[in-house]
Amino acid sequence: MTKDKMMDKEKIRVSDISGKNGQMVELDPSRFLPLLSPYDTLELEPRISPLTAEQKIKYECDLDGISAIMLPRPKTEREKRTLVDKFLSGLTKLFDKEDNWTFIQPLLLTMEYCAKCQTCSKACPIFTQSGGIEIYRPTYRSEILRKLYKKYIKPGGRAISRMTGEDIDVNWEMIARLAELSYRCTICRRCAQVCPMGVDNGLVTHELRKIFSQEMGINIRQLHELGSSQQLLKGSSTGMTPAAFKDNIEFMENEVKERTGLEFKWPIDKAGADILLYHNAGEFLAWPENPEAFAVILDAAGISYTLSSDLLGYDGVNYGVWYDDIQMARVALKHIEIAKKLGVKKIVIGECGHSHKALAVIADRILTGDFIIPRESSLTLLADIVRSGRLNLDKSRNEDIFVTLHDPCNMVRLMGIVEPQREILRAVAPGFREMTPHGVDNYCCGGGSGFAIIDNANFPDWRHAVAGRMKLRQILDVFRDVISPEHKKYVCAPCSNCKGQFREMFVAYGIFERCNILYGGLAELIVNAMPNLKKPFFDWEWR
Amino acid sequence: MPNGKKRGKYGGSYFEEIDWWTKPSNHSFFLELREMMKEILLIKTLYRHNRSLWIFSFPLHLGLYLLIGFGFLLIVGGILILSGLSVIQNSANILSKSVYYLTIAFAVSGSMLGIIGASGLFVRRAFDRELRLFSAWTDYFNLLLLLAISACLLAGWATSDGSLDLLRAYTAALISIGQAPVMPGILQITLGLVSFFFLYFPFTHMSHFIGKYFAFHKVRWDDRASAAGNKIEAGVKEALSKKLNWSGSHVKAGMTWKQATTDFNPKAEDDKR
Amino acid sequence: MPVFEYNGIEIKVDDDGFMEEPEKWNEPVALALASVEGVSALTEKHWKVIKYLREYYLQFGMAPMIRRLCKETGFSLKEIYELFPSGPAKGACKVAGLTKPAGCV
Repeated sequence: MTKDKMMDKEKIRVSDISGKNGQMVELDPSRFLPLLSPYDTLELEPRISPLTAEQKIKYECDLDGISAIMLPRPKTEREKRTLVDKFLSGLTKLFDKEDNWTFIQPLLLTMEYCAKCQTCSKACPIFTQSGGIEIYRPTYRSEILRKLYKKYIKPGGRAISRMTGEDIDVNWEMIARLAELSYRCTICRRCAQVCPMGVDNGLVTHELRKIFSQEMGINIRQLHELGSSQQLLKGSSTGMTPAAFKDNIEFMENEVKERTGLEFKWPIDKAGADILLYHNAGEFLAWPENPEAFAVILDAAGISYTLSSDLLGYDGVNYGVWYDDIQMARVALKHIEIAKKLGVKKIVIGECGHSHKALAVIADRILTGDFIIPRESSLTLLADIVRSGRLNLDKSRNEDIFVTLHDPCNMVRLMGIVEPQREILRAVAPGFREMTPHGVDNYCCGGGSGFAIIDNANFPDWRHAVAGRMKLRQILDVFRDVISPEHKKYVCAPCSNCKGQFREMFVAYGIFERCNILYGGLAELIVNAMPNLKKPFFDWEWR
Repeated sequence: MPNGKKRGKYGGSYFEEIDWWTKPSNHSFFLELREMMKEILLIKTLYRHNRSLWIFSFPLHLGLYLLIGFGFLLIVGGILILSGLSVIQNSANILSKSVYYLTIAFAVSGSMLGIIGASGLFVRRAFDRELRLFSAWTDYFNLLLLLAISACLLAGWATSDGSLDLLRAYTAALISIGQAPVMPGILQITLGLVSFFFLYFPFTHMSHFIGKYFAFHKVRWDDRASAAGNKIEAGVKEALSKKLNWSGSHVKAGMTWKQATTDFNPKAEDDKR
Repeated sequence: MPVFEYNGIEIKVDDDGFMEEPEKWNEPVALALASVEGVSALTEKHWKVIKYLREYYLQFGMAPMIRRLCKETGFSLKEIYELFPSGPAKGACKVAGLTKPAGCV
């Protein structure tokens, strides 16, 4: 390491977040940890495009030259002061047990008990793979909030923080950087898992985003206006209306008939069915083979289920889990209402990680009375079906594909669903091999917490080169011995969000062309192993 | 929730069971207790994820536990003295004899481990760039305090109180509010530091054992689901009746959570705009 | 809001170059937007895709499934990338004057 590179690492302190000297960090890809063959040199890596001169003037980007939010720079000092005041009032509410009853307990524990041991930093893929850029360190972000907490929330804070040298300068520059910094963590919670104190740095990211959205109205368009709000209004975050949904269903029924010869009518709005199945609406649009596969499997297994064509009934996503408790609650409650109306025995959540998190876990703390309808993962259901032998699977049909499993953070680490998907893969894919590490120690795809759908400015470049870096490395590693394109390789990712990230990242790196690695869900692999198909259930082509 | 043998090994949960809500609850107080003991005694999470820090943190904690045990043994010894028994090396009484030897064993091993652990952690914090960046002066001070207590105790034992009779007599005097013996300088310092420690530690990070209990038991491990009629549901009902106060325009401040979420009509809101 | 100018035509676009006012789309506008895609001339194949997208959008208010676009125009995804280098979502939809697709797609 050259001298100035070392000096660079030394330079950044927590207090620098309030500096008025423009951009804090200049990203230098040569300092990111190297990937594996054939990407072991920088040449084949995509560039992180700089913002245009116009964008730099218009939007806040003084953290690291990346803009996730496209936050407009305030024009006057007065505007800045108003924003600062709003931020501080949001901060107060975040630590008020009436206003933030949802997450205050773990938040306070996180503020009080961090031992500053940096065990979390070693676990964070973004921090480690970036080559150790200080601002991406989990404790860097948490320390900022902690200092704010100690100064403004704890009694006597202002005096004490000056005494203990933990003072922090609150100005608009700090707030703008902090807003961006809250979108440099995918909330994968690896940090929370390794913390010896039980502190949760992923939670800090979530809580910070709440100050910005719930109090200041600052949020990312694709998450809010074109995300959760659009979902509440039109029925889906994709903008798909019930009419479009039903039309797509018809198209997909024909697809299934063509591929498998199976004539069936998708059960829609069937009151009294056992199960209400929620897919991520994006699946219908981008990866229809997945919900089609579910339909084939459930039909063959004789399961009583239904989809719903009500507003929100065909879109299981809930973007509020990333940035806003109120939006989260609104969407989750609508999802449950629909299930109640149909009188189903349980809700099954399709291959969508954040859907699992929202409906199965977080919603548990906003449901009462007859709204408490059991929620189950499709992974559990599918494993049960596979185990029962009802499908007569023939795994040799998948034998020409090397398969690895990507563990979606929200199903695996968060919920402890580890074995069912493995049981299934062992039954349908002879070429199945595990990544290292895997299971609850897995690494995030890099697209979590909304990243996969944020394509503002140059944020996607950062997402592929930094956030997804560790995952890419794992994929190149697990397929090391068969990396050349004559071998078909499949990254099984039972989560729409992860698939979105893989799609974008693979395009950026040219992975499919260069290495012949495809990504996809789990259900379609199962159907591919079903005996009566004349041809493979999905085509080996880019999707 | 710490699960049994199979699931516990890979971190699985009841969500892996089909129709999990119809199966008996996996809540096992015994397993929770066992994991808690592993954390407390072996500092398990640090061992798994940050071995190089654990090498010093473990002896520090073990040393502290032994010193606490030592304190407890002093009290027992004090009580024995007050009730007429003498606590000496070759006492006829088994209890006295055991207390005599155990007290020394705990004091010496505890303070040695304390010295190793505290000085090791201090050096790491001072010289490891990552740790230094985030350490406040209190972090160093606390370690030095623990180091000082351990070192002074060990020195006091080695130079002036090999049988620990003086400290025992001091403890007896504390219990009976009687006349304490004259203590040599080194032990006076030790006692002074210990008194300061008891006043000081509740205000510092060193009281993290309380926080950790909640963080592990109430947050990390508590995966009980809400169900009609149970405590969680009651808590939720109460929470939903709270009034919203956030200023974001999409948040309907003034309404209760229940109103703003369940009764929220997005079309009406959109038409207004 | 940036304004995109080409051959005397002014179009309001978002930061990614998608039309902000899709109702103002017409064929010259399509040509203008295509220039950004690096497509200098729109062939019959291009127009087939554009027409399909436009019709679907007017009926359903959004872009169609990618699979559907391929099937109903008869082009493979690869061919669509050849026609519109940025792909069906970021390329073809933009030229057809749709607003930017949203959600996990």
